[in-house]
Amino acid sequence: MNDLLTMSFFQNALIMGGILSVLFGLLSFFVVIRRMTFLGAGIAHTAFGGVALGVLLGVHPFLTSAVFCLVSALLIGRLVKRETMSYDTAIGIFFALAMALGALFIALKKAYTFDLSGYLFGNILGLNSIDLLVGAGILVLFIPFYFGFFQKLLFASFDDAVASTTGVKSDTLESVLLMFLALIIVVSIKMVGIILVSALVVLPASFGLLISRDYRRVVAASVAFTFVTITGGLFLSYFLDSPAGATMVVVGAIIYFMTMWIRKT
Amino acid sequence: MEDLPAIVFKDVDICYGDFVALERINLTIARGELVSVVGPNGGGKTTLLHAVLGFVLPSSGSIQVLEGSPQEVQPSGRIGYLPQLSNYDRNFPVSARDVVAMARFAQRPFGTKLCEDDRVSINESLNVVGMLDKQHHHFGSLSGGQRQRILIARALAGEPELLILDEPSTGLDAVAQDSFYHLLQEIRHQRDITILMVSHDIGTVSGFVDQIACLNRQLHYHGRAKDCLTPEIVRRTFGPHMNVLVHDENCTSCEHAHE
Repeated sequence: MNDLLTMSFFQNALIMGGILSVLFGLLSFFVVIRRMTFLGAGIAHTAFGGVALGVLLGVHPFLTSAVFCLVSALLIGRLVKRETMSYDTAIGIFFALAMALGALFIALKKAYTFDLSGYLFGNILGLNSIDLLVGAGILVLFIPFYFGFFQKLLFASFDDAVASTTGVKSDTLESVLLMFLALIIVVSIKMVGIILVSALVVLPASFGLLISRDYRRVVAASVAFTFVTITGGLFLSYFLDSPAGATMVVVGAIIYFMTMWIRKT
Repeated sequence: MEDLPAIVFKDVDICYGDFVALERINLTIARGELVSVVGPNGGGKTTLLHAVLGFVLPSSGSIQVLEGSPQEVQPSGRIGYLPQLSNYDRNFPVSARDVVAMARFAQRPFGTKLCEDDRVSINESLNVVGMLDKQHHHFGSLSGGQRQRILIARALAGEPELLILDEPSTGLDAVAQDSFYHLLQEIRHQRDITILMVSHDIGTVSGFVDQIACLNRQLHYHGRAKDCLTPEIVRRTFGPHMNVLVHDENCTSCEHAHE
């Protein structure tokens, strides 16, 4: 165990796990209560197009996937608001389009050598100090936004139309929330992967809602759940010699369904 | 200033593409009045409310609300708005008090907590609607009538000059409806607020409001609720089968039947 904790890749994974626990624990609350969970999955999948574009152009895939996710998040938000398209339809279109572009970009790069499965399912060995700095930077920006506007976001999530009649700029808040959703997904891709990251968007607050009907406790439980899921999954993956991202998702799903079962019995 | 009307519609048309939702609406609502817009489903009632709130713009004509345009007045918090109860997610993790507090938090600067004035206002609003003892209950677990009262308390906590209600009686039983309309009358007298609501329930509502406006794309009547509402106006607004819908003691169109 002590050996494990001295390994730099595992230290990086633990630090990133701590950062992501707070980010996903907090973010998940608004994504779930606003019924935008499919949006998390959709935006994560659009990152695939960005990663492939980065590989094709020789640019760091983080930058191109961040651009892809941000543009997708804002365009989906705009289509839903302006064109009265449903979230499901808008996400379904962007999801498929970005994946298709990703496949095309990879095909154009004839001899690709990058770790495709690492991006799809996560690879904690790939985490470096720059990833940690970017994660910490997003955390520093996200915390003041989240707690400074928490009550206004809560109002807009509960009752968008009424919130706007009291001066709450719900459209702007939603756009900023979508931007953070995109950035947090991108920064977590190395750890959990494009396909598995949606579990971290959905499960934490869903778990919180299983154990409380008070938003303060739901948020606290959501953060605690994410921390246990990520760190538990990391340690377990080491001892089982299993992929870290997949192990985390399985740990989280087991905690969720066990809690649901205990609550019912 | 006090004598200026709360709402003025002048020759207002509202169209969605080729569909005309409201046509040549002229309507003036004085301050302090309790007014109900009645009419059949699809007759433009909610569109009229949305126009007052600035959610939709008139295709022609002009609208003044509290001496300003709806778009100017809407974000100021001077209008309290209650959408239909069915719009709310009953699993949303908030207590009744949390819902009322939203109106005060909305006016707080970035990141600040509620002050003593806010807490007093929340308590007073809960007290007015008789829900102080249920303030810590989960909002979604309350009955329809109780949730409606909490939403009224939230609107009152914002200290509005104008209260707008969209079909507030939908989903309430007859007793809850009656008590809800009495509450509106009390609030109007205590706080001198103008109240505009829409309803398709002309029979019950006409016994509680000062003025009634019959709307079915056009305004067929606007005036006192009692005495002046003729069977012909009711039939023009609701269609020839309206008699079936309004048989009760408040219905002037059924006077002969009651006799």
